[in-house]
Amino acid sequence: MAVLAGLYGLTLALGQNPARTPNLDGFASPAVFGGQMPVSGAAAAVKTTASVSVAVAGTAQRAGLRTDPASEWWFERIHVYPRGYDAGFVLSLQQVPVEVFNGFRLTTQTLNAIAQTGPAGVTVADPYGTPVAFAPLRSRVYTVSVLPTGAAVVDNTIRWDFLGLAEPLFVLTGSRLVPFTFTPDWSVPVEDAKAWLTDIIRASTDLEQRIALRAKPRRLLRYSVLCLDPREAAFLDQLVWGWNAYAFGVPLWPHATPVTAAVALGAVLVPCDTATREFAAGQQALLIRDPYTWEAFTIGSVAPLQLGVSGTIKAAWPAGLTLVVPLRLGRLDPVVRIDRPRPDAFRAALAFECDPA
Amino acid sequence: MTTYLGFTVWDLEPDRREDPDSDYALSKVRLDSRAGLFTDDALGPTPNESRPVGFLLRGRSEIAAFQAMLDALKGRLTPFWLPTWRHDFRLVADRAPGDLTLLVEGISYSRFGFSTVDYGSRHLALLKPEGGAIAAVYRGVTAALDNGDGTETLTLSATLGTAYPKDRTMVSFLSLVRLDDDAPALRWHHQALAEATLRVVDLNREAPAPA
Repeated sequence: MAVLAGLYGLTLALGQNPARTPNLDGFASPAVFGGQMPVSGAAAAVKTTASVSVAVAGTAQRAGLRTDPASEWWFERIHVYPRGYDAGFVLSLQQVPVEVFNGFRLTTQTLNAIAQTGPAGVTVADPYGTPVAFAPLRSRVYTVSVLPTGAAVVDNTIRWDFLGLAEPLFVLTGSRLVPFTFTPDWSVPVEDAKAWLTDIIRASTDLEQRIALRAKPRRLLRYSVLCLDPREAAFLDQLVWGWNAYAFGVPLWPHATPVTAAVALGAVLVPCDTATREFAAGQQALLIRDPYTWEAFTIGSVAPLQLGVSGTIKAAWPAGLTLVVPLRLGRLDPVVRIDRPRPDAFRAALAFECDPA
Repeated sequence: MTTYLGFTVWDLEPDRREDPDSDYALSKVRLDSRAGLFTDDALGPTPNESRPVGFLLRGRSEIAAFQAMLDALKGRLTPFWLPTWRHDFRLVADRAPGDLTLLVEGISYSRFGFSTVDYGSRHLALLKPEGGAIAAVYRGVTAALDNGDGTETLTLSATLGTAYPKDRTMVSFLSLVRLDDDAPALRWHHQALAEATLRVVDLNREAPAPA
């Protein structure tokens, strides 16, 4: 039989470990400590202040440093989590929960106010009111909402203002989109192109080198809209006049399809035929009944007969009246030529250039 | 999609609703003092043809397949084969599956078109209707001979593999081309009917040798 060498396990019982001294009082201080007397038991209990003064049972005090780096970051301060949120392209209501945590272990802190800077269109739901006391190590969750209406750019900061403390900011960024909800006038074909970019270097002998300059194509959409209803025409007029400087959510109308069943409030699925249509996970889509009644959502997944929603649907959408259509981020041509067959009618050929998707 | 000599063949039959036009472009330098005699110095051996090709797309599946092909081409970047869909040659006799030659009406191809400098005009598509679709084979021309009786004999790179009757066969040049537009557009008439006109340009200098 083989014989294997091994070690006996050492217990923690004092005296059985030859590497440990039985009594700290017997510890001979090395020269680096100046040959002072050993640390007293009372001094060893001090451990949390930033600059620790260790009282020794002698005549001198020694400065020390805190030894636990985690406590430096976690305690004795206010935490806001997450610290920021990129809302991306805001087409419909977006909400993000933000947790505010009092990291002081022994001290109650008082939240005086919730201060916000930046353009309109961002709200913070405050169910607790102010001032409100945060007990030690207590957290509360607030809901920050980015509204679909507001300034073109989302660039806001929110500060939970605790009395006498410097708190981290919560930073919101994004771009607010307005969907272009007018359907094309199908008497004129809808032009739809994917625009690549190729650099061609041609030799005098007709040989050429081709270099792709875009990894993904931009999308060009050109179509006419015709509004004979005065209210619609006026709305479209306002839209083209007032939002031309900013990005639109541009529906890919050739890929619109009706919902095949009613979509309930809070639904996470949109039933529709997705085959041969350009729905893609992570992209936006639009539920739409008319130019005024729509809801944008982010596609979470695509299956042959339904779209998964990232989040939930915020309204009820009946079958038979509702279309679902893929959406792209696009910008309108700088010049829009408008033809007015009547003073209160609107007809225009529009050209959108959309971001690569 | 079929591939031939390493490139995709776009074999969707075009729509001929509009009269096709085409340009032959050859790089030339003119030596001209403007006082008397002048001459041209051709830099490329053969002209590249540029022409529009129209397609009518019926149904969303056909539109999606067309769009997928456009996506794969990435604008002007990628070469592909495209038959001219013209009767560039007319067969004089039916051809059997084992035939390695075509007997065609003479068009002086052996004198002008059979280039030995590049291979842009050395590939053919033989097209015939079959079972509601178009049956096609693609072959290179390795030799061309004027028979002196108003016919020419074209020697192919491989046997045909199937019979081609003279009265049901279209013999077209198969051109290596690229798109001439980085943003080819679909024109949607409604959600299941679209058309597109693509402009393509030959790449004679890049066409591979018949094999």
